[in-house]
Order: sequence, then C-alpha cells, then structure tokens
Amino acid sequence: MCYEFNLVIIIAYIREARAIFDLNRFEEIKDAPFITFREHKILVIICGQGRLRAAAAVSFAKTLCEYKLIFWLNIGAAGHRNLSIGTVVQAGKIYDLETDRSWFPSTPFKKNIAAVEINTCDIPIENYPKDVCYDMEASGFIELAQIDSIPEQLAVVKVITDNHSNPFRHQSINELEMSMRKKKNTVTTLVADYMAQAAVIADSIKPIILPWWLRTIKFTATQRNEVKHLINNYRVQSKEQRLPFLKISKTASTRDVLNQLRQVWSGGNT
Amino acid sequence: MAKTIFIEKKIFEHPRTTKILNVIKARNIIKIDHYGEIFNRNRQNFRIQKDNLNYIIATKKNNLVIPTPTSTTLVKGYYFSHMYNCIYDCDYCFLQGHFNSAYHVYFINYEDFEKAIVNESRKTKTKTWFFSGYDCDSLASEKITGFAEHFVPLFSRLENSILELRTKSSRTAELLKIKPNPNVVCAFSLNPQNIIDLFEKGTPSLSSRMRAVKSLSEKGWKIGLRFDPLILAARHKDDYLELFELAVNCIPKDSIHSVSIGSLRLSESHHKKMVKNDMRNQLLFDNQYSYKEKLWQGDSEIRDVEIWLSKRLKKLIPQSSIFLSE
Repeated sequence: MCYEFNLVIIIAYIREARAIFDLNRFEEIKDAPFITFREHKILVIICGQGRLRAAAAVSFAKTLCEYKLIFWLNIGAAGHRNLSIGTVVQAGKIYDLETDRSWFPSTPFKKNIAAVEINTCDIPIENYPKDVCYDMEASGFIELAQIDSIPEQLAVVKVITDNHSNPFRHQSINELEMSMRKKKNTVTTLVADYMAQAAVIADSIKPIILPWWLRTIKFTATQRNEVKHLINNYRVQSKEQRLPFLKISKTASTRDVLNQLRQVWSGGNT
Repeated sequence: MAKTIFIEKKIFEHPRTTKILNVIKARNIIKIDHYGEIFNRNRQNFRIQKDNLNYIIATKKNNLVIPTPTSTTLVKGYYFSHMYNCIYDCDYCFLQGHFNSAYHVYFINYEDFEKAIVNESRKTKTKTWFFSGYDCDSLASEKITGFAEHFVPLFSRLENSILELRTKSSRTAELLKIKPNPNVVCAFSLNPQNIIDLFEKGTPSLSSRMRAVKSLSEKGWKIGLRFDPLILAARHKDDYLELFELAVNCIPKDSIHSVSIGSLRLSESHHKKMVKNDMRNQLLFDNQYSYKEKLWQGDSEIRDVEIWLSKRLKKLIPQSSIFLSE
C-alpha cells in the first residue's frame, strides 16, 4: 500500500467541473466558503473566476486535507491565438502578467499533451498578443500550492475554449461547458494518470513514522530525529521494512530508550 | 525522448542549441529567462527528477573557471563545467547533495569558457591544470555537447596548460577522430566490476572502459588512471589488486600520464543532503563511515586497507600520486 495523500483539483466554474466529473459520485461539503466536493482522498473545489479566488481556494483546501502530502491540479479553460478549440494542454510555465512572476509546474502527462506557457491575466484577453495560452486562475493557484510542494506535486491542465476565430467575448458559458464536455474522457484519463504517478512519488518521499510502541515516549525533537535516522539505517541495512518489537521498560528515561535503540538497530543487528 | 527541454530565450536560435535539439528529441520546449529559475528552485527532489529527466540549455555568465577545492584534491588548478549533472547514477556521487535539481544543464557559451581559460593560463608561467568532469562526466554526453571536439584543439594552443577529461564513459568515437594532444589527459575512473555493479548504475562495464583506454592509448592519447573513490571492505582488497594489475598491463607504461587513488569522501553537508534525498541508498548508511572534520569518511580499518593498497600501487607505478583523506 502506498503512502497516503490528497489530490486537490481546483476548477473555476461548477459547470466546468460538471462537464469533466460526475459530481453525483462526490459528497458535497456543506457550509464551506467554496463549493467543495469530496470523494475519498480527492477534493474538487470550485474557486470562481480570477487568480485571487484560486489562491484563496488553495488555502482553504489545505485546511480540508487530512494528509500532509497534497498533490495539486488546476483544470480549466484557456484561450490561445492559434490552437483549435478542444485542444488539451498542460502548463510547462505559468507567467503572471500583473506581478511579472513565473512558475514551472511539472509536466506529468505523456499522451501527446503539449506543454505550453500559460499567461494569467486579470481580465479576459481578446487579442491574444503572444503565442501562449491565456487564463485567469493558474498563477494564483500555483503561487499558493507550491508552498510545501515539490514541482512534481503541481500540475495544470487546460482545455482551449477560445481562439482568434472564436474569441472569448462571443462565447456563452454553455459553449464553454460544451467544449470542456467534449474532452471529458481525455481529462479524466489524465486525472487517473496523475493519481497513479502521485502514488509512486508519495511512496518515494514518505516520511519515516515511529512504530506505535515508540509514539507514546516523549522524545525531544533531536532525539526523535535520531530515532528516525536509526529506523532508516536499520531498514536500509537489513532490507526489512518491519521493525522488530523491542520491550521497553515503563520507567526507562528517553535517553535510556534511545541508547537501547542505538544498540539494537545500529547496523541492523536485532 | 526527453519530456521537456527548457531553453534560455537569448540562445533559442544558437547553432549549438539547434545541434542539441537534433540529438535530444524533445516533446515539449519551454522558453525561460535564466536556467536558475528552474535549476535553483528550493523544494526539489533530486531522486524523483533523476528518474524523470528534463533538460535545460543555458549560458553560464559567472564563475566559468573555478579553483579546485583543496579539501578534496591534491592538485592545484581550475575546474570548469560545460554541463551540470551526469547521465550516470552512482550511489556515491556528490552531485546528489550539491545541486537542488537533477535536470541536465548544457552550457553552450563555449567561447566565454575559452576566454576564461586563456586568461587564467596567462596569469602564470607554471603548468596549470584545468579539470572538466567535476559537475558532469566529460565524455559521456559528447554526442550531444561536442565538448571535447571544441576544447581539445584549444589546449594544443595553450602550451603551459593541461586539460584533464575525467570520465567513466567508454565513448571514444569522437576523440579518436581528433589528433591526439599532449596537453590533454583522458582520465578514466576505474573500479572493480563488482563495485560497478553495486554502486555505479548506468555506467559502462570495466571491460568496455578498459577497451576505451586501450584504443585511446594506441592512438597516442595520454591516459590517466583514477582509482577514485575506493569503496572498501576487507574483502575487496584482492579485487582492487587485480584491477591495478589489469589497468597497468592493459596499456604501455609510456602512455600512462598519471595514476591516482582516492578514498570515498563527501563533505558533511553533501552527505546530509544526499541522505535526505535518498533514504534507500545503502552506501550512505554504511557504518564504517562517519563524520570527521566536516568530511564523511571511512574508519581506521578502511584507512589501513587504503594505505596498504596505495603502497602496492606505488610499487606497481612509482609515479602515481595518492590522495587519501586525513
């Protein structure tokens, strides 16, 4: 079994979310500041339009996650000068036009999903001045999500819903939803891929957890670090994940316990 | 095929960029302002990136030629890096603790490196060593970088300077096409095959390295033999003795420019970061090694074996230089 983690998916509009996911399968969290759905360890949060709302939704999501390790995914609509409507892209670079800052999320999707630069703007862009994608949430999402995350925990997937020949101002929310719905299968496959990769990464960066019979002992922070080091040392040397149970006297001081562990685990001798 | 190649905007159309892109077929290309935006980010995991490589093409502006650190080598000189990170994945490699990222960075402003090397070599009349292969393997990526092809001719013009190409690669095709240069030493890192199997993932076998050594020496190149790092347990003594003899007998003695031997050593900060990055690396948790004077190094038993081996090597090749950590 892999180390547990949460997957948080941030989407701007509920109709975009409905176009991609079967939200009936999710449980809605009532009385939350953002419309939020949960299915096991997956959270779908509807943030609303704009980077500030996206950032706020990320902060809110952190309070809901029960696991320390969180993988983040922003799904949404974007515009591009040339790309045809319905093209699915992933962000290789996110640039905020207001703050002049850049971020580089991971590009985890292999299935011919092009990695593009996404420029986040405050108001919808209509003339597509550069050969990049334009959206309104990605920079707010990543600025907050990257705190405490490695790049492999961050990904952004966008469906092109407007371009030069079909610009944003001529579109209704229905058309946007339709464009997203047409790509439902592709996007849900990408989410499943991302989950599978997340499980592998989570397993490789899982922290060392003290066995239950050591958790009640009140080690200092330094002692606790040494215990973790000893546990890892034992596992590497003995190639055994399960730690042998040690009988610890109730009256033993933390220093005595640590000495006992050093003796038994150092070098993997049990 | 690489997943993503990040390229600095100002060199997007540079001929060397085009050449690299012809060799590494990229699925995605992203333009960036400076390689540090990606490479020097905090909170990256070297091990995860190593299994999922991306590439960066960049230019290096500062510290093009750097004095060698006195704590880890005897020879005074300079090192320079046309590339950051290595295609191999050796368990003991300090790069895992040195860089935040495992992505390969190719620096393509060779002309700036050239100027810096010429400047340093003009400062003194004594022989100056320039080492490549400190932050990467000198020859392993030759097909991509064309590094040796560019820099070997430079050193034939610099009479008081020696270039050491440190490598584990058996890739000699490009060097064999170039006229041998007496100011260039091809230095091969060697270890017994059982050590290669255990700790040098992805590197060529000992026999193919020896074949490379032989073909270069036959062509007239000066060869350096580097038994560095020694990874020792008492049971490996005989393996190393066999290796010394094999290496020395493989090539004529006059082709051997220098031989050196060095113990497994890491700075304390590198070791700590490596342990944090890779909790499953057995070598880093070896009980025979510990911190002494800011270095992670072997205990007295290991040092005894190293001293014994170095004496044997000295007997075999009297001109060999020994570097064992204190």
